[in-house]
Amino acid sequence: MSVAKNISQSESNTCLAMGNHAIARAIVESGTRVITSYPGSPTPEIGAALTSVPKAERSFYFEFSVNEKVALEIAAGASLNGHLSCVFFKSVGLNVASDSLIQQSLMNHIGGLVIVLGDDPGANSSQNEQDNRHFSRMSYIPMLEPASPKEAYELYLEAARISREKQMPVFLRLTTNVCHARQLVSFGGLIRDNYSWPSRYHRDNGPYFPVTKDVFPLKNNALKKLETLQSTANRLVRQYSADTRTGLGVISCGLPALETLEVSEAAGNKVSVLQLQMTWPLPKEAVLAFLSAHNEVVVIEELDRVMETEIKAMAFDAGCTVCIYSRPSSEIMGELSRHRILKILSSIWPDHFSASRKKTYETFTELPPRPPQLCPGCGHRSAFFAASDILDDTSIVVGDIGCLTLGALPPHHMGDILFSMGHSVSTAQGLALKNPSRNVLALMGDGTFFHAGIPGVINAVANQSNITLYLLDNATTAMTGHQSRPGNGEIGEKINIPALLKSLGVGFIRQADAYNQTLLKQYLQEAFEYDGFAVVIARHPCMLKLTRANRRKDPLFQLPPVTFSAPPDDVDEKRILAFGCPSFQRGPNGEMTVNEEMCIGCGACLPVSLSGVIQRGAPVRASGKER
Amino acid sequence: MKKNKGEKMNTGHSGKTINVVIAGVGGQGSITSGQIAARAAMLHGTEVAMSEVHGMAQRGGSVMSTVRYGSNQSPVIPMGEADFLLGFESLEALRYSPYLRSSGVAIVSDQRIIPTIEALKKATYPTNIFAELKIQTKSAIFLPALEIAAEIGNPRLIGSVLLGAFSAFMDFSASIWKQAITDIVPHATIERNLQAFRAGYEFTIDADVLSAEKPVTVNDSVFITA
Repeated sequence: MSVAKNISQSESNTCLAMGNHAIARAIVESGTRVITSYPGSPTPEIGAALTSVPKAERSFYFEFSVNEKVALEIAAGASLNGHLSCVFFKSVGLNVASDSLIQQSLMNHIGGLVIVLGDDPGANSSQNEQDNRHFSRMSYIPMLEPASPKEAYELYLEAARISREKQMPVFLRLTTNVCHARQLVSFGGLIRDNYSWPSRYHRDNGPYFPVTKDVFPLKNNALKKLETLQSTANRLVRQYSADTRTGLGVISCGLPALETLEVSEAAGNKVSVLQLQMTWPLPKEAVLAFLSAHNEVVVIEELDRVMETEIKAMAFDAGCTVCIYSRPSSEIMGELSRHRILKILSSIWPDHFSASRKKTYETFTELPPRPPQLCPGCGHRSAFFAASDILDDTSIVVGDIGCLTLGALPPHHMGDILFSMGHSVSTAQGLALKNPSRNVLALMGDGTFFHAGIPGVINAVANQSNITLYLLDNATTAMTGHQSRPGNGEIGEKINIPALLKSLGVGFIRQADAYNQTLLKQYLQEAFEYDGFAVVIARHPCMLKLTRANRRKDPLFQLPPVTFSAPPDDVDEKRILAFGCPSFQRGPNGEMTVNEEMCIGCGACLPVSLSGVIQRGAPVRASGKER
Repeated sequence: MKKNKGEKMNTGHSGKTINVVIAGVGGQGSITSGQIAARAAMLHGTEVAMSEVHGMAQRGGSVMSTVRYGSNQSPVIPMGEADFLLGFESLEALRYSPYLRSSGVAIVSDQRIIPTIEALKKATYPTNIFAELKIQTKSAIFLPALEIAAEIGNPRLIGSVLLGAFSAFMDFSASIWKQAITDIVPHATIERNLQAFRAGYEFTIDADVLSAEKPVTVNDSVFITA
């Protein structure tokens, strides 16, 4: 059954749902009307699931907005107008949204607002590893944390209920492993209604305009609302008792709670486990009861010692004599696997847990890595190759977020510094201050340019920064799965980037197809010589997206792979290696070959060979081969 | 755990969890096979949890996913606790082989997808994968999955070939597997996937593959010499 059907069918059904799909179903079932997002791992499948429902069948409005702050504001605005709303994004997305996020607990959300966060312990696909639970404390927004797809579904419904009832925003914090886990989940039925989209905004529901002394009654309200959540928090706990009376207990939340249970069961079930589903505010009664029923307790939580610190304070205030152990500081990074939990428990309770391994693993020789890479045909590769001829050892290249982040890997080495989405121009401006002897190049993709890059450009122009922005335009949000976005023509009109730059006052704008090495090199050279802020745009459509679109139309679509007319000489071989297309491989005798399965026949590599030994293949179609 | 056609893994009713790690290269279809394996459990009435990709797998990177039968809890499988390893590519099978228990079974396609020249600067593609796998587990099967798939008509069928081999160890009925495949793969490819599944099953059933000290050659067809 298709995801769309699981998400939109009226009847209750059970399916093997991914955490993200379970959230999508809960969004529909709860009657959430407005959903916004900016795509980012690990949550984009929520958007994919929602958009898989045909527009005519949708009981909701959904959009991928231009960035996370905009997305949050749209959802919040819709909630103030009475519609139950939801915004979801990746962990670092909350940083972008935080300016408006902090205000939300001051607002009387008559519609309801659920903020779904995809945190990323282990930094599987993020530029950092941040514990967004701190944001719940800072913004006075309660937080629920599911451990599995089933709980994600249940707790979204719970979050929507709380948000509507208390008219306050609620966080639902997922982690990568919960988003991407699949499990049998039983969905409830949908009530089909003809929602009439009533506009219920009224200033009497507010005030919604906190300035100076008006802030305090609103803040007071936010704090009071949090206090009313104790009974809910105490209900949202799961307690698993030990088989034997050891007096040992673990307090945990999210997936680590389930992992702890498995570790405990494997060791003879000697510790009780208290799993908290509401992790802010913490359920005082349930935690204190657990603490007083045990002699020794460990708090197992992924990343920072957030709950641990608060639980210790709670124990202190209540005069509990329980001993609460800390995880070693080596254990506050990364995902907490069962092995790591076992290691923690065995270091604290060696009589009950043994971390000895039955098996050693380092039996084989070192293996070649297989990192993610730019696809064959990617325009970014061609753009990097052209730039590498112009840059010298003193040049500074500021990277950014997107597929072009992969440019930092060998052989490209394009990107020395990485902060956040859209940072590159301003960071480059800082690096270039009073630094005339070094060329500073800022890299940015088109998606990131619209997301957060434009203010940096305005600033660089205004302050006559002598840097070059190398804008790699593939006309899509490629890294997260080609979601549509404003500006690329899929939502609304296409925004003409050179015209936009011109209107911002940029004095040097050149644009070339990324495959055109000669033009790109010439433009980059001119840009470096230009006195002032310069932009060189290297355009080429995302070839992964284009190839997929072509194969949807014709499953046999395949351009003939390139061939070598003669073995490349040393110079050419060096250049082919620096170009780094994965289609080039070595044959059994070390000779350079083309992997025909991988080559898409784009011809981006033709100008790489100076002697012209790379040639377009003969236009013969593979017969009878399906793709 | 030495298994042959007579002994099958009991899924779910014995209370034991069966852990399956699936390793491959992004784009090979290993996630889809994981979904079929999980779907089969669902149809069989067995609890199942699975996890999908970590990281940026779309771009030809190394991909690992997990299926846990008899568990409705965490989908995560720690090192040394997998009962089965389905390897879509030889090097990736070796990379994830530390997940196997010493009693586990490795079911591996002999296909080699050579990493980029850049990656090969760090280490060469190993030449003795079968022997290395045999250090991790006594039971390793090397299948000419790509060759079988290509013969049936599409290299992308290797997932079903591997699932067919895997099915020889599981107590799900043929009709359950058939239904699971039918439910998950694109409609136009159902028949070929079923054919590929059958070929993988027969390969495993016919050959005394588990006790072999070397990769087995079946009907003198071209086969891996690792």
